[in-house]
Amino acid sequence: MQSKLSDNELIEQTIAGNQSAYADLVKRHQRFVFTLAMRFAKNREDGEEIAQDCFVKAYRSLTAFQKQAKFSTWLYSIVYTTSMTFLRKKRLDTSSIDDQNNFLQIENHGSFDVNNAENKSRSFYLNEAIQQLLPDDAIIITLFYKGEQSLEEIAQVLGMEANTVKVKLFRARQRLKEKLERNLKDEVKELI
Amino acid sequence: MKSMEQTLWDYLDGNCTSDDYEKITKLIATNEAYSQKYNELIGLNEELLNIELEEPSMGFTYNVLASIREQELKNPLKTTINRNIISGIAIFFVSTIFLLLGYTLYSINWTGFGHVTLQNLGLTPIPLDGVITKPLMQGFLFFDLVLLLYFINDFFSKKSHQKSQTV
Repeated sequence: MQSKLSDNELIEQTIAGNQSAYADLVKRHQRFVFTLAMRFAKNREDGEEIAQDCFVKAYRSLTAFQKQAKFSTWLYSIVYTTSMTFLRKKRLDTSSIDDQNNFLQIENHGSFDVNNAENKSRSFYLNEAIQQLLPDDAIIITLFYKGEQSLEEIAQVLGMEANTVKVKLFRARQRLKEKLERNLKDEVKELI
Repeated sequence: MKSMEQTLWDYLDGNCTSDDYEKITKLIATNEAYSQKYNELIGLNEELLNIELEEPSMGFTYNVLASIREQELKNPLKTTINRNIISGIAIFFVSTIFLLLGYTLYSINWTGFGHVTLQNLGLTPIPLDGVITKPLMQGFLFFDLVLLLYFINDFFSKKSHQKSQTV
């Protein structure tokens, strides 16, 4: 059962030496942190490694957390920087992230299985399309829709201006729509 | 000039003024193209709100805590070096050095180029006669040798450990 204490209360308890309070914090945020990590890593092993690394880093820096922003915003900025470092280590070209062709996908996370096509919902295709996006696009969409983060908070996480995030979100949704349409067309073709 | 899609996304995200909001609501009600696009975008918006988050493995929290404990053993949080203390020590030594340097320069009798004499600082010399003996020096050098061997051993064992981890 998850704790009813706020993030800040759990942080105070953790700093006081209560590690089970930190376990509660991890349980509370692990799904979202792991999802964000997966937007970069594209496979579960790397995703878990990044997410784990983020929680360890956050623990070591808890005393430096100023509590001026939400804990989640602070934590997601750690996830973003850790994931970017991971990508750099993997020697993926993330410098020109607007160039879709430059993005090298490590693993096709949701490969199509013709026999199970009928079991796949539109949500599956949506997730698949998000996985095919560039990490920055995928992370902006995930933070906006699932992270309960405002444009200003996303800007803080990514170290950008709120207006830039707004434009990037618009472009990301356009690209997502295109990918989704293309994927669904391919599926129909294969079924015919 | 904003595109229709951009206008509608702003409308859906609540990023438009109340005047714009009213205008767009009217457009959606009266304009077929706007209405069609709005329905398309609202569908995608709802689906995005309902995306399932990924679930890490069962032992994720345990692994995080184990990793923290492992790191704590190497460098406990309570014994993490406080940067202020380090800075304080550094400031103390640097200021001491500068004070001594300043005092020394001040005490120098600058009688001319090539003829600088240091005035008596009033310090009493430490009597070391009979303290630094040959056996003491030999013992000191032997201790240094042992220390050097210890560090060489430590250095190579760390290197071989790193090698075995990467293989």
